[in-house]
Amino acid sequence: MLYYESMYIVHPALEAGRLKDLILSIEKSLHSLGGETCALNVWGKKKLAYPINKEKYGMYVLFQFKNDGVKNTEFNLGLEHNSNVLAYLTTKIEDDTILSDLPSLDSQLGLLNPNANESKLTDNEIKTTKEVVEEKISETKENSEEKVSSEAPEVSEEEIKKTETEIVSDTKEEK
Amino acid sequence: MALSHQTKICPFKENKDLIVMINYKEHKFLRKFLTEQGKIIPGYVTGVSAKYQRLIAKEIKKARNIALLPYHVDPRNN
Repeated sequence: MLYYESMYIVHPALEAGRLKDLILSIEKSLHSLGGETCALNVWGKKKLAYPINKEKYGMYVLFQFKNDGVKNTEFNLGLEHNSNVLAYLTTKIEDDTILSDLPSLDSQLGLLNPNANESKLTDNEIKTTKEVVEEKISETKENSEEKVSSEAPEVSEEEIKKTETEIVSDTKEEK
Repeated sequence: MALSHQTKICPFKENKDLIVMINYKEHKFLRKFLTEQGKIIPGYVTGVSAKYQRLIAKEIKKARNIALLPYHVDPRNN
């Protein structure tokens, strides 16, 4: 038993529910051949470097497993005959490159659609925080202006008095 | 003239952590070793040693198979 990984591109028109069924069916086909799953990572929708079957986008799925090497040809044939899989690549990997601490498949697939809503919410929140900050800045500016205006006359009056006394004294000395 | 006589140091021998990045899944890193047309840049231009150039070429070809990197880019389309 050796470690392998296969990356396959699923048709982008598949919805999250059907995509999950397809991923699980591919996993089942591996189990029927006597393999074991190690990790499943859904990369999400990505732009292809070149169109495959006239499709410009595809859902990338990375599937790492443990299997008898002889039976990989059968597994690859299953992917080949699946009409929803645009392309696939199976390679041998070392056991230390296996991904760990991945979230469950449901959360990985569920994150693809609600993520957009969450990002929108976060955008709104950012906007609101920006507005709050702007309001605070404007308030502080007003307060500072008021302080300056309130402080300024006192200082000016004192200065005026001082200058007046100085002028008076100067004039007296001159006399 | 001066450029042709400059000795280049292999980036993978300078920084051993980069060797892990030679993988078809790291297509953004491998794009450094492609021209705008999508051709693999030879090792004598980039300074990569023969050992790692062989690995890079293999991984780029894998990435091309799974449509992460292009086989060919037509500059007239852009």
